[in-house]
Amino acid sequence: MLVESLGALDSRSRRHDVCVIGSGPAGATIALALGRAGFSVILLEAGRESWDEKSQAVYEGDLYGAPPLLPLSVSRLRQLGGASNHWGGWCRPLDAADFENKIDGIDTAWPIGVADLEPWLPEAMNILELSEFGPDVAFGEALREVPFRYSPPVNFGYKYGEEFRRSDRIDVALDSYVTGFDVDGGRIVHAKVRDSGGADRRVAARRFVLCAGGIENSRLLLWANAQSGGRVVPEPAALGRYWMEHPHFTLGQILLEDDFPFEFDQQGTVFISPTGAAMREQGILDIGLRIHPAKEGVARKLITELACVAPDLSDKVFRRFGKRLLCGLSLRASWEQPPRPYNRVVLGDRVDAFGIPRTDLHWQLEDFDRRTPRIAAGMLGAELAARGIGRLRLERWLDGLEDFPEDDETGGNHHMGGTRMSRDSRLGVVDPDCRVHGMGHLYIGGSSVFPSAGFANPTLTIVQLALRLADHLAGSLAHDGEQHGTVRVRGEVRT
Amino acid sequence: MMRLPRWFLVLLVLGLVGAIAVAIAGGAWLRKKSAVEGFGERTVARQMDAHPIAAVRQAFAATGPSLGREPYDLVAEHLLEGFFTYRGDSPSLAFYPGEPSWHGRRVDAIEAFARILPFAAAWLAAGGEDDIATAGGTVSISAALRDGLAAGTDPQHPGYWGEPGRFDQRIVEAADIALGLWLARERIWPMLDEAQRDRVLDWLRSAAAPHVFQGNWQLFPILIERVVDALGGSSKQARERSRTGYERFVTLYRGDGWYYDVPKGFDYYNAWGIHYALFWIDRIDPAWDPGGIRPRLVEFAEFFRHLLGPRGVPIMGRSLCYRLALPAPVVAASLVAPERIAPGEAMRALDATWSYYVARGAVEQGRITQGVCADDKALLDGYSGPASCLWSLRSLVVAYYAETLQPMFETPREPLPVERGDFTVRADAPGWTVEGKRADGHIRLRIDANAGNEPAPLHAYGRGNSIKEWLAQAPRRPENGAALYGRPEFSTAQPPSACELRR
Repeated sequence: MLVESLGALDSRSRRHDVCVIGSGPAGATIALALGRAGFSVILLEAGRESWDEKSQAVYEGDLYGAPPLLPLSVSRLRQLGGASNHWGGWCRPLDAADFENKIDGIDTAWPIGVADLEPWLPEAMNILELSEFGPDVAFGEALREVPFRYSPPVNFGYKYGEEFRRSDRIDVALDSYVTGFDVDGGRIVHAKVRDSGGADRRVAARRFVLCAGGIENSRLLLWANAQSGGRVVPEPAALGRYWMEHPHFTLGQILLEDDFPFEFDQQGTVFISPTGAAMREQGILDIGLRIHPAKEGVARKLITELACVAPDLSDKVFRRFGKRLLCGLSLRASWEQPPRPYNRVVLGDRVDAFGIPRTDLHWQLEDFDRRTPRIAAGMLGAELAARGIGRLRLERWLDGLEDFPEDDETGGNHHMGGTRMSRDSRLGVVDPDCRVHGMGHLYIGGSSVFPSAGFANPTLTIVQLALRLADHLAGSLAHDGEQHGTVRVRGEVRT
Repeated sequence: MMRLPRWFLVLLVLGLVGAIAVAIAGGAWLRKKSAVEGFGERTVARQMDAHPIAAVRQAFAATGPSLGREPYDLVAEHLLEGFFTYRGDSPSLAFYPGEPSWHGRRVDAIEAFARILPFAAAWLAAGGEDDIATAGGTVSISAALRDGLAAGTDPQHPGYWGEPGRFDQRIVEAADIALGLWLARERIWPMLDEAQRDRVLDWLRSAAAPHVFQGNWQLFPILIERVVDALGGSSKQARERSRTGYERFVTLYRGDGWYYDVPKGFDYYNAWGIHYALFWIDRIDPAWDPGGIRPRLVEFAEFFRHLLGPRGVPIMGRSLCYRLALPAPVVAASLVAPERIAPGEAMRALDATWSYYVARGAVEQGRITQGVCADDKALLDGYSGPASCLWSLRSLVVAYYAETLQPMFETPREPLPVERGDFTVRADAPGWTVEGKRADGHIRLRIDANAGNEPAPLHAYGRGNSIKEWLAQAPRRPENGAALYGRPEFSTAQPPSACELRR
């Protein structure tokens, strides 16, 4: 069932096995998996079925740091399906090295490994409608050409809206903004929900899963903690911290001979990435170097090619007109930034229309964020030169001669961390099962649990983690014995 | 003889005229592009009639068990007279004589006010006389500083300092203004009316918000915000931003009390910049990070005190005209842990440093000179202007502040390490080894990272620099980074510029 607000459900039907908060890729996946498995689920979506200006305004917040990211009310969507309403569909699973520490002093290790997520990869690919990933192809000893796959992209609101409407196991309530939790006996017993009319209601469930997004998960828990005197997240040392993006920048230009060995994929892109061993040896984090053909008209292309005869001089001329010089192919990249406790979500002074503090996002690139792309691009340049198939020209900011450019993408709108996974509650908010440390029945889904970010776009990993969490919850609920709505006792079903 | 055709001569003349015109136009364009605001305008240096430098030098030259307070009060009065002598039409600006910085004449003038303010505030707090005699008559220091604060933060006033932008030098100056305000919170703050206070706090808030360079700059917004908070004007959001900024900053800590100051690494900014700012943050807000700030300061000072002696300091690094500030962390540490840094030794470090450099031209004409001893453009960075060197007063800001808590100036002096015996000490984090010889009083600093380097020569400011400055209308001083950072050893026996005794 899908209703416009929680008030449309009678109070009896506000008690479920699982309450999922947020209907983006993580929340929708968990709700569907558990609903299909026979559990009663209530899925609370703070926004409406389609984009709504007033609702979206709740996402306004302040950014503090440099270079600037997209405004917080633009980079995410508060509506059914969440961020899947505007994602690009680029997918790739994390590499084995992404789950490990690669550099001393930079904590990128996950408490789980790539093998712990692999069982859910086929189903996640099925949900996202991805074709098979081919193998990585070595490009020299230190680099490899890595495949991406592209979701149509799947919009979870469109794709599963009808199933939500028809389901008798899943209740979807729109306009249901979770503003806190009731705690009793060391576990969550109710989610407090407010609708746009200001009506407050409570939802009871046996498990609660917060999937509100890579910023909202932190914000809601920080607020819930502030309201409850720290009872919701009793061990909050890492709450809001280790927030991450994938820096996205143009690194330079490439001139390639015609006999280059790469295969451009359906998006016209070649992805090159260092091997795990090369990352460790070079002291860098993971990075996806992207070779794109420059998209230009004939006249522009001619001008550019002529300008590339003397690239340094031409670059200066282009910059005077606010243009970026692209010679032949452009080399772009997105990469892994070190997880830092001081990149964090905090509650701001301003409040939203519901009286809840807005987000103040403290995030800044640092000198290390030049190191990974500079060294990786250098490795690519050396390999191209060694094979005699091309040459590379890098942007000045990579050497620290200029600030990070402010006219580039900066980030991929990949909001990660804030409630990271760790066995140590001083370094993370959730345990390897995504359960909040020190709190019963409260779980977190989505990229906010990533302890580190790799370079791959996060949605595929989000869905893998969501499926894994759904299975964990199913097992946990079965262990409890009783289910709401349908009562299941030791395998017997009584309705 | 072959006659050249007339048309060829005409073309030749036209070509020459054109080339000259292009050269002139190009030169003018380049000059306009590089010119620093007010570069050609220089203030004439004056002698301080009411508080002559001779009396200051004489007082510092006195020998005995302790200098006491008198020489410091004399130098304070000399420098305060200087400030009022060079003060402009607006009470928020002062135009000192000397070489301008690349920030322009107006920012240099803001520096003058900003850098004198904490010194004057600490001096007043320690019982300094409010009325100061100048050639133009007696001036009330507190009233003048109040007027400067009010004017500098009033957008309608011609002396308005303007809103600091990203990476703006005025952020640095705002930190000193904030500190001065905090030190004068009982003296000058109550003299401002409510509207003036609001404007002062607004201006400080605007200076705490923009982005700063990594390194010691990261502490300026934090110090400013802590003062705003102490005066009741901060917010939760601003506090959280300070906290984030501080957490980022402390990642630069490398052990042994040393921070890596981006981009130069280890130099005397740890003393007069980083530990100085951290000491004040701790004083303004003792709950900020007492477990980090205090032990690191003391650990730093326990090593650093070996660099201070009666024959000066081994000169290295940048911003060298701040040389008189070098005892600041040692005096500060003696307040934090007197059982580990004796106040008597800290004050002896102050006496030794000030006596040595004052006798050699560090103070004259009502200003701190732009060099290590006297003025020396070879040692002056492009960012340093006529009043920049007032950062030298930082050791006295700490000393006068300490005097408000306990008698410091009359504390019996205890000898410095180099006065007690020969020593070799080492700090692993920066890779610095310091050796002292009691017999000759000289101190040598060896830097691991520079071992094996050929000692780079120090380039003097020459005619070439002078021509470049005239053409560019901007500072074009010698680049001496290799000599001041790269040498394997720095010694008091080989000061980088002439350090002759002044009469």
